[in-house]
This record gives sequence, structure tokens and C-alpha cells, in this order.
Amino acid sequence: MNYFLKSKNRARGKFLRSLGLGLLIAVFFALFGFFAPTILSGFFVRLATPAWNLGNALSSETWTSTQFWRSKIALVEENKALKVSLEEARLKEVAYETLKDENNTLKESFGRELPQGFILAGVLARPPQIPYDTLLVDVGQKDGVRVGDSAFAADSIVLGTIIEVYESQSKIELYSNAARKTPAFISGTNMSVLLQGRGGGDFEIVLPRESPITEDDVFVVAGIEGFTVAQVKTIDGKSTDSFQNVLAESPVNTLLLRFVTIRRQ
Amino acid sequence: MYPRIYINIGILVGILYTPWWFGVLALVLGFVFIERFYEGIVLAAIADTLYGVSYRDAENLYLTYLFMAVILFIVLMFLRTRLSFYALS
Repeated sequence: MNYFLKSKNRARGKFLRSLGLGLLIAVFFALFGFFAPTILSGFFVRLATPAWNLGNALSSETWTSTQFWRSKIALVEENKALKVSLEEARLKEVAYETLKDENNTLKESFGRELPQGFILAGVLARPPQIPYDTLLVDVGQKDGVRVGDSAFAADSIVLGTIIEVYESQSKIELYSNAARKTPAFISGTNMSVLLQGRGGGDFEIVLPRESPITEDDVFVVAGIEGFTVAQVKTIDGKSTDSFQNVLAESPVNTLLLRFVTIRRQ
Repeated sequence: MYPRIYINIGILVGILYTPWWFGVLALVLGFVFIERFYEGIVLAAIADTLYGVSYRDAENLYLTYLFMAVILFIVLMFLRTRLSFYALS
């Protein structure tokens, strides 16, 4: 029986061609991303937005229908717990409103205007869908959003800043992003610290042993408004160590965020 | 050949809707079972451009997906010629 012998050179050539093509694709995307990041990501974000909107609508619908099948006992228990937390929140709100009025009066008397220009944005994609600490929201250039604008949950918890703006979408980098360091103060003591992002809404701070910090403290970003950025989770360190390691977390669970507010600069 | 397009759509859906680790797992399986999976590199690049922080400087290149995809692509290309697992399939 006659047959062609397998050519080693031909197989090797095919192998190298495939390898080269794969690497060429990767280099193309890496260079494109480096020199013109917003063009490529803007294009893909625009394409993916209808899919994310559909996904968000479907997940909301699925959640509603699964709630229908929950047992009555579980609902009664949840109702009780919610009533208790509602009462606690009402009491806190009374104190909050008083403090807010006092804060506004103080700012006005010092000639500083109140923060204005907030716009509401729906979250298109969030962690854990996103491995990086970023959020994609449905407001963009046409809504007046610009790079550097701050993103908030509620009206006093700052989440991060806008890093990329497309026509109708924007990308927010959370302060907890692993590559990010945020200057902040420990509220109460006014001690300046540098919050090192650790991903997943967590932060790490290394402080001298004598630093006055407790587990009830919160960190506020520098500025007159004093927006909360994180709260202390745990304080580690032996009594013999020179430093203590403080782990902090964002007061907001980014996994459950559906809306954020953007403050235009 | 025809399931390849479905696998690609599946991985894209995984990247768009599911937690990141599911998308990564789907991508890894794609590289393991599909020969010369160039689309995997493109899908990884799409994930990076969609979710990653801008490539502001060489120190903070956020190309996690793309880097992983290229490594898998190269390693599995070499393994394909040496493993009986691929010879049998």
C-alpha cells in the first residue's frame, strides 16, 4: 500500500503559523487597548448594553417569581426582622436629619455651597460578574458625565470615580480596586491615612501601633463634604508589633447595587 | 465544526452574565477542547476591554483575561502534539 509520509516540516510550519496567528491577535488587542482604550471598549460596551439590560430585567423578573414560592413562616419571620430594622433606621434617620441640617448650616455660614448636580444611574454590570473592581453604568457623555466625576451610593457613601465615558455608558473604578490608593481620614480623630484597595470592596491600612483606631471608626475621603468611603472591619496585630494591620470594607455591598448617583464636577 | 459557534456564544454569555469565575472556567474548557481556539483570545480581549480599567501605564496593564488566554493557547498547542488524550479524540 502506498501512502504519503507525514512531512515533519509541513506539520511544524502549520504549528508555527497557528502560534503566530494566535499571538498576532493577542498583540493587536493589547496594543489597541494601550493606545486607544476607549475606542475598543466603547464599541464593545455599546454592543453589550442591550444584552445587559435584558439580563437585568430577566434577573429582576426571576427574583420576583421565586419570592412567590417562599413559605409563609419565612415571610413572617422576615417581616418581623424588617420591622425591627425599619424602626432602628427611623430612629437613626431622625438623628441623621438633625446632623445634616446642622452640617448644611455650618457649610453655608462658611460660604461653601452644597454639593449639587447629582444624576441617577442604573448599574449595567457589577462584581462578581466583573473580576476587576469596576462598575458599568447607563449614563454617559450625553448626560454630562465626565472622567473624574464621583460615584455614590445613597448620598454620602462614595464608591469611586468615573474612568471611562462613552456616549451613553460609563465605567466606574471603585476605590477598593487593588491598584488604587485613596487618601482618607479616620473620622473623629482626623488622622490622615492611605487606603490601599484589596478588591471586592475591601481595603487595607497599615498604621503605627499607637494610632487611635477602633472597630467603630469610619474612613472619610479628603474634602469638606467628608463622604464615607469605608468602615473598619478588623484590626490585626500583636501587642509586640510596631504596626497594626487594619482591614476595612465599603459600607455598601457592590454585589447588590442596582443604582448609583454620579456627581458632576 | 458547527458546535464551535455554540461554544463561542456560550462563553460570551458566560462573560456577560455570570460571575467572572464561570466565564474563566468556560474559556479554559474552550481552550482545552477546541483546537486552535483563536476566538478564545478574542473573547478574552473583549472581557478585558469591557470590564478592565484603562491601560493607563505599563505598570497597571489590566490584561488578566488576555494574558491567561495566551498562556493557555501556547501551552495547549504544545501539549496537543504530546498527549494521547488529544490523539484519541
